[in-house]
Amino acid sequence: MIDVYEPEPALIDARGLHTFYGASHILHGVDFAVGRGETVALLGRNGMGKTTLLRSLLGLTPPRHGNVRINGVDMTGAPPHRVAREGLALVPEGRGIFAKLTVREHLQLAARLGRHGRMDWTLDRVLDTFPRLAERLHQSGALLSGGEQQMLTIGRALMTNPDLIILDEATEGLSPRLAKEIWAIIRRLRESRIASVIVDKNFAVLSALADHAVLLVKGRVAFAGEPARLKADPALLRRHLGV
Amino acid sequence: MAEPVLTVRDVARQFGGLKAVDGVSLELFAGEIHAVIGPNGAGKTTLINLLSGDLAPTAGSIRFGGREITGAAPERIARLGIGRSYQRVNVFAGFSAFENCRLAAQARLGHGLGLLRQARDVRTLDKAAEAALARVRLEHGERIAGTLSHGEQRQLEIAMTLATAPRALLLDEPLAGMGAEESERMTALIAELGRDHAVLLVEHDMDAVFRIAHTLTVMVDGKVLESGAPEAIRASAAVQEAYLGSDEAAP
Repeated sequence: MIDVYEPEPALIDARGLHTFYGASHILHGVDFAVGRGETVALLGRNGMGKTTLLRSLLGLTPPRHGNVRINGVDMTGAPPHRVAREGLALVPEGRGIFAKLTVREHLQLAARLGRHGRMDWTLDRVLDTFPRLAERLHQSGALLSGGEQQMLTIGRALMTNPDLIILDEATEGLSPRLAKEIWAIIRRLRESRIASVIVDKNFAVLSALADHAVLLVKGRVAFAGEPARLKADPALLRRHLGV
Repeated sequence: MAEPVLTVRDVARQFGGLKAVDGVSLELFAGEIHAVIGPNGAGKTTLINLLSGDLAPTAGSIRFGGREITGAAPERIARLGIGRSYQRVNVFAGFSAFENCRLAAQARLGHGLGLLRQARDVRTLDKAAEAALARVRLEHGERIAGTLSHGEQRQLEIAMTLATAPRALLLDEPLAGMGAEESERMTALIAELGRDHAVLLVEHDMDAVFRIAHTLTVMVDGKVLESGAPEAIRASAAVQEAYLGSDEAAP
């Protein structure tokens, strides 16, 4: 038998996605890929299809056409829990914190081994990463500030030992100081080789942090490539993100 | 210059510790499209809610046609002549497009269904509904609203607002969720309505905004960052930074 070198497949490789909400055609043939350990900025104004793309990838709103491969396996239309088992964790825009659970309970409930039985992230390591959560360990979710909630959702995602974290509106509604803390955490994720897809309105920071940027305009990819290339195109930037 | 139709002075709205709208002033003139833009969470929809009476301001004053309307109920504000559309489609799905418009006209005239006795009133309402549908170029008013496409439902909403014969229109993201063609049609319609109405337009589609707005107000964190002509707004470094962020937040 000839030994053929096969590179590890991309974490996410989605091609030609067409996604609908009822009769409304939202995504029009979107290609989207994330490599291992890669930080991807998902850009675009409100209503351009960013959240719909994330939902399409995660099996929450399956695409009508096109396919989603995760770790090389076709997962188009697979239910969300199967996608989650492939190592994808979502930090949703709404955060989804339970008022009746404490910080510790949120984290413990989420604890799971990653793919291939990996356990890089334990309660201790998460608390180490988020000292604020350690201080509030026995507090109920209802009493957390917006920034603490966002830390808790990221911490909870880490407890699943994911290969990829998706952050929808990473710093939305946070004060500049807290936003800065979240950006610092995102950078640490990157350093620990966890891939991420980040949606955020701060293009300046995001473009400095990401390896790759994808810009959606009305459900189509208007740009895909290095963020620096997008930054160097003020006309494109102004048209689709600025004023 | 003519008197403004709508004058907003230092209005604010606080939700607990959050100042969603924090001292906003602006003027709206007849025949003018005044766009309010700004990043997510800037307070644009809250501002519209204050002007339409859906929310009462915690400070400041709103005058419409020389009359104080601060904190007035939405029905009263609608009757005085401020019509609004919402971010999400609001039509009676089981009724025809025509019936939707007639109901809107009826609400404006303040008739309850049981009080509607005179044939003349019925004709007035029918005429208002027909005129409104014609104005937005929505054909076949007998079609059931729930079966219309998303773009047509949005046209219908504008028609329902027009059926109340407003002088001012508050439009909250009228282009949201529209395809290219639908959005082209709606942009042309708003531009046309702007000739004989005072229009306040909240919209994220910058191509459309810069094509049809006469004045722009940029809101950030509940406050007015800049207000002026489109060219001035486009040239403002502060506005660009509000949209593209700054390196200051970098870790």
